[in-house]
Amino acid sequence: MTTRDFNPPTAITRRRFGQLLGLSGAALALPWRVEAQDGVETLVFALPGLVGNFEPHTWVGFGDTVHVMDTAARGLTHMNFTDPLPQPAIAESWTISDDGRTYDFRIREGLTFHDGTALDAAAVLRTFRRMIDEDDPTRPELSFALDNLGGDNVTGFEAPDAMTFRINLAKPDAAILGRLSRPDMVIVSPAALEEYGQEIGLNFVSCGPYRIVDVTPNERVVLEAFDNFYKGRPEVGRIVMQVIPEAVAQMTSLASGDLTVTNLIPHSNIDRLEGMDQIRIEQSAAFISAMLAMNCEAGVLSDIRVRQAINKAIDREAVVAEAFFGKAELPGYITPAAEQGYAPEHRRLSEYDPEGARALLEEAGATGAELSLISENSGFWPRLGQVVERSLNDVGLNVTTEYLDGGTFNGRLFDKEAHELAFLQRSAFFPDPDGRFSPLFASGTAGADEITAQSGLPAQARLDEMIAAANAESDPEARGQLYVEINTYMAEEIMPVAAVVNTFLPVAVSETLAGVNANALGTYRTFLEDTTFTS
Amino acid sequence: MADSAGQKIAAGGVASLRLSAGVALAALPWLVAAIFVLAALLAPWLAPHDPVAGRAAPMQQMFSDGHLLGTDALGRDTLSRLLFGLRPMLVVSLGAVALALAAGGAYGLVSGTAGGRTDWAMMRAVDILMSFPLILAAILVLAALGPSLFNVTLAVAVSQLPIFARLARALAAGEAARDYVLAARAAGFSELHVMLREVAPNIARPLLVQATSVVALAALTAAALSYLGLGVRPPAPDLGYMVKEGQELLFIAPEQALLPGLLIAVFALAVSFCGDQLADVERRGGGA
Amino acid sequence: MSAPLLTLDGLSVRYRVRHGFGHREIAALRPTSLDVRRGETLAVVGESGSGKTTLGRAMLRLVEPTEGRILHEGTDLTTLSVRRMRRLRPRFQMVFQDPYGSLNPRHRVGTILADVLGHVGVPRVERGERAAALLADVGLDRDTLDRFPSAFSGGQRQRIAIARALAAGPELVVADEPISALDVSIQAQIVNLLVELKRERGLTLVFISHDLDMVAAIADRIAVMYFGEVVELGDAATLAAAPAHPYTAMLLASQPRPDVAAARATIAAAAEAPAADLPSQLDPPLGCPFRSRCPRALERCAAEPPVLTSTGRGGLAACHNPVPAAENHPKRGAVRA
Repeated sequence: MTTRDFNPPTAITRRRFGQLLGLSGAALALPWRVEAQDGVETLVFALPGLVGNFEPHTWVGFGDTVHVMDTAARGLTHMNFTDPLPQPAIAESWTISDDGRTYDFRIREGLTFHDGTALDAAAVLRTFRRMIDEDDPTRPELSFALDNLGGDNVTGFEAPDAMTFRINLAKPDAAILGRLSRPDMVIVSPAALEEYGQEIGLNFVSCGPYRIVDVTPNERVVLEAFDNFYKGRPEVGRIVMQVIPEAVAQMTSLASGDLTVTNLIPHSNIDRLEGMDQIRIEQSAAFISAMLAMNCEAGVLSDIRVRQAINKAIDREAVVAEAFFGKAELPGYITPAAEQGYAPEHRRLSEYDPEGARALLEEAGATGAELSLISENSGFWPRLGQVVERSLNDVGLNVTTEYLDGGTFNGRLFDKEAHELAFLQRSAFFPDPDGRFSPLFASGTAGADEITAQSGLPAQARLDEMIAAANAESDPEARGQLYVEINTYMAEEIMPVAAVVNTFLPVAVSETLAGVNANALGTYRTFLEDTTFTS
Repeated sequence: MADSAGQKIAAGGVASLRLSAGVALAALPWLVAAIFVLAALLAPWLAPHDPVAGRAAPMQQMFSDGHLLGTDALGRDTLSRLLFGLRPMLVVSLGAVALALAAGGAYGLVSGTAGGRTDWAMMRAVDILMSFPLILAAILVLAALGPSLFNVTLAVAVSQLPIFARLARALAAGEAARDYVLAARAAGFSELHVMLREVAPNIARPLLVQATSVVALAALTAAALSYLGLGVRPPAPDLGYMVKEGQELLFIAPEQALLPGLLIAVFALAVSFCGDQLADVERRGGGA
Repeated sequence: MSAPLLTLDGLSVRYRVRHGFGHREIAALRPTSLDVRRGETLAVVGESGSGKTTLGRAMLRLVEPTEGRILHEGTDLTTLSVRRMRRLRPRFQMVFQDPYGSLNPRHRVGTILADVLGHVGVPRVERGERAAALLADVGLDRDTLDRFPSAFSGGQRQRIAIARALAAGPELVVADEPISALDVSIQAQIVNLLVELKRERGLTLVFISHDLDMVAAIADRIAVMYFGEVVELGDAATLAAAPAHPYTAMLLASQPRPDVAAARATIAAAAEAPAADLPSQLDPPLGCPFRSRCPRALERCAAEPPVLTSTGRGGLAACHNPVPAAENHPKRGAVRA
């Protein structure tokens, strides 16, 4: 039996690869090459799509908004996905009151926005007022920024002095420092807000490492390095974010040198690309979790033994090998190894144990039970669905999977009447341990009420308390330990989801690049300011 | 004398060789189509492995031991999946064309024979259906009914319906204007008799010829729907879906997308050549 | 002769046709009143486009009349439901001009006849014999039953078409130019067959033709049509001998003659005639529609459409200036000379 060799012995050069595809000539004619003709070093980044409206408080596009926002804008704090704790950004430091309810941020001196407007506490307050003041004329319809910051728990914003910005909370929320690094918490130029009002998304001005020079919807965004960025002017002079939605087109563009950074290629191609000269696959931490959500109110799934049986039935090694071509990690429970709150002993919470699964099903009288599973029909999901379906059927369940388009899938995912088993993806927008619990598994959230329907379970009250207590703890060490306990408690007492696998977006870069933040790119964040060209 | 006779024989031989080459060429599409049908029918006996439950090491290359065409990402035998994957394509394309022929043919027969306002209204309805891109009509049907083999057949049939409705209508209207139809009406036969007994036998043959040429289109539509994830539900094997699954593997295991794509193309070509041949015969006056 | 089989009372057929941005009506048949007498042979004569085919079909309601009545045994056929009309249909049959189009190419002759026989209630077991007998009546042998229409010549097909008409057991047969598509050599056979069958079976025959000379030999009465209406109606012998309407006279004069001189004279006469355009149906002229071609046109003809009035020779003609009885022979003679 000859298994396909994942590491081809002969390295294939980029040129040869392009020739093999017969596309090298065609690639030369691609339009964005023009951008690189004036000698400025240009990094080309692949976008899945581009609506061209960068309103931070209500996202018009998803991928493009985040990528452009991360490159062109910055908030008070920054999480770099290597250090588990939030770092200073526009705020150079902060103090937390003893009761944990008042956060004072010291704004860095001497900063300006891309349009030259001074960046002070008043400017920060202007951005945040737009989130909370429903009468603010510049506020977009359906602004959900405040919800992403903490909702009702945020009681107000102040600027006690010229360089201090204050956030007042109803009760302590240690995750707020992480949340301030979200792409919707960026600081926007008050002058631009004044001028463009609700149209700010089309004329976006912030204080990130690059300023937007040109936007062509559905084609590209051109950005240039900003001299007055808080960490200094980035080395790479220009970034072109080019729409290349197809994985195949991305790979040919990488091969021809027309694309320098992408995080959109499929896992299956990692080894192939790695074997090519001039292309490097960056190692990314696995921040993206694929989970199997189980509707705790649906038929046999209301029995925790059935949920635990399903958890034991999933052959996660097969998932890693067959759905991700080896490019994924076995999970602990909810928290991935790269985040606070993970402990190695969590691995046993997601152990493959088909015998145990059969025994539990037998005990619960659920052997042969029919269950439906919904999955998205793109990317790795269909493969994942087939492996999981096979695993569950192997232990005596009768699972049928429906593969749905994104819209239909989400409609049914957020309706407990419309699904039994459903896949759930969780990535870290900011790697704060609370991000995987409060918004998803606390009572009252759409996750707990509709996706898993766990809110009514007796064990849920304790979970709610544990989540609240952990998020009130501001000491990082102690806080991390609390999340370790939450993972264990939730797996043992509730089991509303089975952790399936942790993975990352494969990050492929040109060999000439250094300093690429692969961990961030591996989980949908795009921090390119530390990138340099080595040749 | 002998020479010239020899030359004649030789010339005759060449001519008959040419003739037999022509016959062989003409027979080729029928042969290919027949092989597809046979392979699909005999898939359970021909396939070396279970196409769904089979589990071997994933991503084996072509010509591996026991896996002539290798295995896919989930360790399933590619040859077996190709053989079984023929079945939905054939069922959907032939079933859909049969359905569309029956329904569209009946519709056009009524419209063309009735004439007048009925005809006008019925054809405007078809125009509306035609104004949707065919594939979109099929997608709408599937969105409403959900994916299943029968629903895909129905969806493809709906997308082909206007073709048959229009052709049947044009043919029926032509026949309805002929005197034998008037003679039947003059004899007091009912409109149903006129349609079924007088007009229908005269439009059946060109409709069948058209049906043959549309099978190719139906097969491609079915494959496109599967490719969009609207066809057969995984893990059931299906050629269109195999192309989709294999697409991202194009650079590491190109056969995974190319082989099913090739099968779809060859089948579509073969049946469309068959249809062309039938159409030629019909045009040359294949009347009784 | 007894009571009429059919009485057409003001029967007309108009079609809507697209014209520019709207619709116009054209009259294929202007209001026509006419009796079809039981047992007679009524010939309807006119050029193509004169409305004779429409008249033949309208009297059987094979095209829906726009106005008027068709009285049959006290019933107005135009008011009957489709279903009741259908029940009556076997009593009125047609023989069509084109024997290639009037037989279904996908049915064997036996099937074509058996279908009709079955429709009029002949039991299945008897249909074969009855069909063979019908074929014998039209001069075809039994083998014909098993063959398709394509196996036969035009004349043979027309015989089959006649057999089919007879299979329904009709009282009336409307033969619409039954010989004009046939070879000259067999035209007479078909005409004779029709006349003979009509006589043997006591049928009423409406014989539509453009050949006035020919119908004069077989018809009891002749209706001459021009531009959608009957312009002269009368006893066949009288009408042919002494036409009252200038158009009838012209038709008689334009029949092909067996001598070259006559033919030459006919052509010359046609050339001398005033601009011989047929009037436009879309823009019908005021007054007499024939006046543009009429050598006897008066000023009155342009203003006032003539109606059918007695010719004084036992017939009716629609003409303000009919051809006097005495003038006929000399004129015809003159043309011939």
